Amino acid sequence: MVLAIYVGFIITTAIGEYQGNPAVNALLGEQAPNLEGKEVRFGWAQSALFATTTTGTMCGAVNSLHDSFMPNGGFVTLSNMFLQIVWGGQGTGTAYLFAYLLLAVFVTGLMVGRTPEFLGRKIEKREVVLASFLILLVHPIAILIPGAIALAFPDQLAGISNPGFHGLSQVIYEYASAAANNGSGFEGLGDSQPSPLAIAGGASSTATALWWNLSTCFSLLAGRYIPITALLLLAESMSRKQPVPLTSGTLRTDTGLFTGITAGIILVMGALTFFPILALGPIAEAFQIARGLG
Amino acid sequence: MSFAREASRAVRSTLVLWVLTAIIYPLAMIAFGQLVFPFQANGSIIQNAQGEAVGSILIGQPFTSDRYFNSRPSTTNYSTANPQEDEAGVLKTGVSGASNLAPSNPALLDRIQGKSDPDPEKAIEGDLPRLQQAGVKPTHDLIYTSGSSLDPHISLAGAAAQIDRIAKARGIQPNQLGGLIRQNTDGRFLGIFGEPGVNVLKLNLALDALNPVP
Repeated sequence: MVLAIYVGFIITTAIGEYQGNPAVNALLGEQAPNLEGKEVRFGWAQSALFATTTTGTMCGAVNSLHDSFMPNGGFVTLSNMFLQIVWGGQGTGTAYLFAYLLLAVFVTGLMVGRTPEFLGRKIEKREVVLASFLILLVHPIAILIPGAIALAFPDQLAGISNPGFHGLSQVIYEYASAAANNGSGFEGLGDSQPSPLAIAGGASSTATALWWNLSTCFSLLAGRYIPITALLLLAESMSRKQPVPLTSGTLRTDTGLFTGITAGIILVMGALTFFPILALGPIAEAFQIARGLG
Repeated sequence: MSFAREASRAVRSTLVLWVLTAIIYPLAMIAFGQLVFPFQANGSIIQNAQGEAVGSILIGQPFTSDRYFNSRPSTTNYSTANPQEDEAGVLKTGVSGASNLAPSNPALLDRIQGKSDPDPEKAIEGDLPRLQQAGVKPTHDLIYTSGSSLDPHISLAGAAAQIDRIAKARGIQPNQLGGLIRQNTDGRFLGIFGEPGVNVLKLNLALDALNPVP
């Protein structure tokens, strides 16, 4: 299931980069891949593959600049860091997948009216609270709340470099990257101490850099330690439970149906939380580009 | 175990690890690099016919003359600066970076197609008019800036588009240049990953060898 999402994401990004920027293609008079922020030796395909992989796996290294990717790429890289399970970080990807599985078990248990069980152990209120609140809610809180504060003061705090819908993506990407332990960025954002490049261009980003350095600390700490603590508590309470024997009434968790339901849960719980951002950021930008920049 | 013994064990293991990771490992790596890959370990520096070091194959250089294959546009002008006005210390430390312009950013289109402005400081020349003026058919790699701003390659199409201009400027046959491009093309990594690219510095050195500057 994760592989399917991963492949789908790569294809989405690659199509966007291969088709290129329509406005520039019109100037060139032919269809050409979007090569802004990319090296010739990597080209569009490998850049798309690497962008998808690096944001999915909490790697954060880049071989091309995500800020200049087409909206498809922005959508995929953001989604990767929102979900945190398209492979995910070492260990944490699996852990998040377990949290989603617990919720899927809980929801299906409610649907059929049975006590939810997972790996032969009963899922009770405490586990569901830990899985849903601490693991799945902390992530949006660490991203969206500081993001909203930064966006309320775009000039003083955010230091957005690209106008329009893309600016929203820049701000949210930075917090998502911090909370999801990634480290890549839409680097046009004024989030670093002035580089030689910025000084040469006469720009000063000191004030916004201070804001970013401090506010992403909150996302970094919250995005890491609260889920880790919650996962340890969850593992501890699961390990203390008495195993229940497998009966014909037990809900099987190793079937294709259950995997499908888990995918649905991930979509509903993980993706829909962030859907407004995706709609206002990359998706709106895609429509804007499709319409013509005007 | 007493505190003293624990502390001494901690100090000893720190020392052992320090010697291992700070001295033995780096020295072993240096020795390995110098013995097995001396060219790569020293920065892939290439020399011209006179034996002077002219650059690294991995780092692009700005070529703007009509007589040479031109590089891709670069946001940092390939980390070069005017020595008289180098306030940011570019020549001392080097600089790298991309435009980070979003595809929807009007500034990207301004940079590519140029913008006229009553204030000459604000007018932008534009990569597209510049190429068209030079009689080069614009290709995508020649109008988009690279991620590092130090890309050493141009695409095969980008090199082929410049053949006519160079042949005219140097007064040589265009078909000779096609062979040079093929010789200086770096193929895909492992045959599948990435795209083939022409190394601009190597190509221009070969060009000078073929048709020396009078």
